[in-house]
Amino acid sequence: MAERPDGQAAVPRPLLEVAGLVTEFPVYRGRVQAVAGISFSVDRQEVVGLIGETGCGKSVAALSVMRLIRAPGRIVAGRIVFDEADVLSLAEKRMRRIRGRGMAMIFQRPMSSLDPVFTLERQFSDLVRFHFRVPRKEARRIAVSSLQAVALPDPESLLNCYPHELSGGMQQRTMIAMALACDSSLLIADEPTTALDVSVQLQILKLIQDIMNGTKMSAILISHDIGVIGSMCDRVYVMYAGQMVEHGPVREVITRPAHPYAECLINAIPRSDSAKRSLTHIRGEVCDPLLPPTGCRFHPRCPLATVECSEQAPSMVEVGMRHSAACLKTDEILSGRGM
Amino acid sequence: MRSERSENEGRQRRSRGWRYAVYALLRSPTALIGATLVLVIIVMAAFAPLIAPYDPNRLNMASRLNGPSAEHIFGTDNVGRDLFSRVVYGSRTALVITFVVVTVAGVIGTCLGAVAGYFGGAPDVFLMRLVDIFLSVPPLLFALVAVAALGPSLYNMMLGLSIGWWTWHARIVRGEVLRLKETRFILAARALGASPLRIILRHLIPNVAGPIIVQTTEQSGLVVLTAASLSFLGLGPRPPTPDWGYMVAVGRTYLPTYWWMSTFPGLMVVILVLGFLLLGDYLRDYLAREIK
Amino acid sequence: MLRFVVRRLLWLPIMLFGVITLVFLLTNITPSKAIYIRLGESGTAADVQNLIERYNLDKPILQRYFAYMAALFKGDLGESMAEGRPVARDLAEFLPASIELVLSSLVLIAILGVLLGIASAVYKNRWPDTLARGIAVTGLAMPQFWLAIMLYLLFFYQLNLLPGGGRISPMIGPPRHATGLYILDSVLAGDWDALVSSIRHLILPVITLSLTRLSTMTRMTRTAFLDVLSKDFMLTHQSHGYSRFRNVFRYGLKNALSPILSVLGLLIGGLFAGTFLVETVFSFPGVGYYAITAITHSDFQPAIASAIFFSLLYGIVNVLVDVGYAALDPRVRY
Repeated sequence: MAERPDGQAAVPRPLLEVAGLVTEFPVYRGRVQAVAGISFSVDRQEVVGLIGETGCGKSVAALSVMRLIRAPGRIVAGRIVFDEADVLSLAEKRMRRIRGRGMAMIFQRPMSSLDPVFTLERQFSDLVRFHFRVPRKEARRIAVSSLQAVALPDPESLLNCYPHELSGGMQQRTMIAMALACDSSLLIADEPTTALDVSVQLQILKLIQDIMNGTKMSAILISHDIGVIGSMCDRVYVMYAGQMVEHGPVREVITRPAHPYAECLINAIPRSDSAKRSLTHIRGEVCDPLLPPTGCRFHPRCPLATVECSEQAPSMVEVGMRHSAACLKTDEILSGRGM
Repeated sequence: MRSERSENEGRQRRSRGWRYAVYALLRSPTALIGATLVLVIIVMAAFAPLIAPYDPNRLNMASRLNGPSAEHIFGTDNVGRDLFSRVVYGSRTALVITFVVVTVAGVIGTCLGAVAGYFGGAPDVFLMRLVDIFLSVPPLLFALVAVAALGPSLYNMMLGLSIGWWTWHARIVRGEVLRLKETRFILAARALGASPLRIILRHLIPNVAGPIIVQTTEQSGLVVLTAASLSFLGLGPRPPTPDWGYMVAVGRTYLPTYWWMSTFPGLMVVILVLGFLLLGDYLRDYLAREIK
Repeated sequence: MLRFVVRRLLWLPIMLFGVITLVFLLTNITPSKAIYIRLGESGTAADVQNLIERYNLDKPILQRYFAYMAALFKGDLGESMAEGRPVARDLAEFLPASIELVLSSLVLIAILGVLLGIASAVYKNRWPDTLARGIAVTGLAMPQFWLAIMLYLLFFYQLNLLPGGGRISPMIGPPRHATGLYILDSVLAGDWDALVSSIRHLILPVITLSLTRLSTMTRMTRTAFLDVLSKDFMLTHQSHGYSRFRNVFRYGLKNALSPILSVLGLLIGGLFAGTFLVETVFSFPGVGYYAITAITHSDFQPAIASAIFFSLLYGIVNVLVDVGYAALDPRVRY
């Protein structure tokens, strides 16, 4: 650890730091801010969860980090620092070097995420030879060892297969293997198990966990499933309608949520040991992204909302050790009232 | 409650109505250009006697083969007729052909397609075989055969072309009918005891109107092209009926010195066909957006 | 897969039969001028009678039909009445010109059409898209015969840049024959004058043939690419760090290849059909020209032989297209 001039141990910089990110998409009727000013960070060797319901902007946030937002969508504000480099000001050519190498992403639907007209070997070797100038044999060797690292049987013959010849689970493993092949520092997993069978989901999650424990990789795990986040992540960020509403260590947030939305999310999980007979749900619907509510975006659906909530957008308030929530009523929630 | 929803499904395509359609058309450059081009030709045809400065059939051997000038904007042809007037009247021929062919082919195709799609079974299979056979032959050939067998004339050409094109409509209409057959509002109509004829006429066909209109417009362009080719080959309307394709053919023997006789009639064909094509393109995009 | 191919090929004889009968009727309905063309001014009544008997022109139509079909089965394509030469030999002579024309047009359409289509898809709704589609649709709107005349007027008459007809300058003459394809033969023989002349003579006919069909190619490519570019795996490729150019041409192209090739295959039939008109206007000595001359003279043997050629070609090309489709996409299996 480096020493600072005053003798104290320096805290290592985070691997990824995002501040005030705003990503916009023009639509027929105006402009939608899919991500309306979020900030988050990922330390080295840390697994960070990003949770929220469908449409809250999680995927857009992930794509923004990799600058994969396609025109006419645009990142209009914010700062993204990855591995000490200012991502948003990099030339596209430099950014391409980072994609796939420094950061790798795996997607929700592995069955359609692999190019159907090329063999696995070709897709691996293209990737590896693009980032490292190695001869074909070496590339193949790397491919084989990556496939072994994800516990795929018989990598040699698998490489000659086409993606559609593999099962969903195998396809997702292959995608993970590609992230490993380039020795990436950050893995962004966008709902990696949502489209898979339940039995396979557990396998893939365990695989990711093993990899996180066994390598120096960090990960951003995006999901709408609190169970997945709870078991896999060190810290979690909760998103709603394009904004961060709460973040903190995962145990903290789950046992002591400080934002009404987070609390609703967690309470919404059916539990066999609970006395309740009916399912809890959050009343109302997600807001129209084109015309979000004034003040706090959650206030129309919030049981604790008062007039102030519609006037003033709350900023992040510290409620614990590295645990913050963006709500005016955190005291009420934490003291157990209101629900 | 239920029947309301079903009724709404029935109106699924007529969601925004005429006003919006016109508004959208005015905002699209493609549509505007296309519509303008077609409109120009239509106006030309409708007001031909007012627009044409001379009688298209008036011979004047003294001023034959004169190039474009102040008196004759497009010049004169080989027997001294004013080319511009002939071209203007030629628009009538072109539009008549288009209208007749497209209407006849459309009516036959739609009816057959709707019937086949709705009743299914043997009539459907029979129709599909028929369509396959007809489709493997380009429409030009049908017209060619008809004209060759019956002699070149306006009517024979239109007959041949209609035969060549009805299959397009039949296929599309049949496909749509098959798709709509199982929707709730059709089932509701049947449950209420509506006869097949009524169902077809009142419910199915209006909902198929969209694709039919797109088809018709695109087809119009191709009909004009094919008709021009046929007349060029001498298989179309006989003189003295002014026909653009035929004029180009006649002008060909006077190339290259007397270039205007072939150039201008052909140019009109391009204008009309381009108009239809652009309109058809726009309509197709518009319809695709509407369905979403 | 084999069964599929065989099934498609079985349809061919039936279609051929229909076509032969049709063309026979077409060319035998009106009395033939062919023999008069052959004899020209100097023919005597006796000569005319000779030829009539030779070609069975005095027999009832049904009898002539059966006689012709019988000969056809034995592989005898007959003689051209207007020239007196065996049709088979004529066809062999005229064929390479058409092949060269069609092939060149195909190449032009493939390259230009695909490039325009890609530009259209990648820059969707921006100016390259509008320009590409504008070119394509204008080309489609032009009648081929008119375009041919316009090109002739502009490039030959006005600018005197390109020749007005024929296949090669008569002062240079064709290169030593190996394949009959002048371009290939010129290269093989090292005859650069012939090469240049052949190419110059090909330019206008090829442009005429290609321009009107560019629209189909551009449109199909655009659709195919729009579809492919929106697929999930393209995002994966991007996340791997590849450049846009690479994504489009290396990965997008192979994925979009199937529909593109089918269009090309379908175009071949249309291109050959177009040779009728284009070759006639430019006096290009190919099969289309041969066929049209035969039809106008009601010379039924060459006409039918040409028809057979075109139909066979059309049918086989369609089957090949389907086969190619299956071969290219590893997911398609019959």
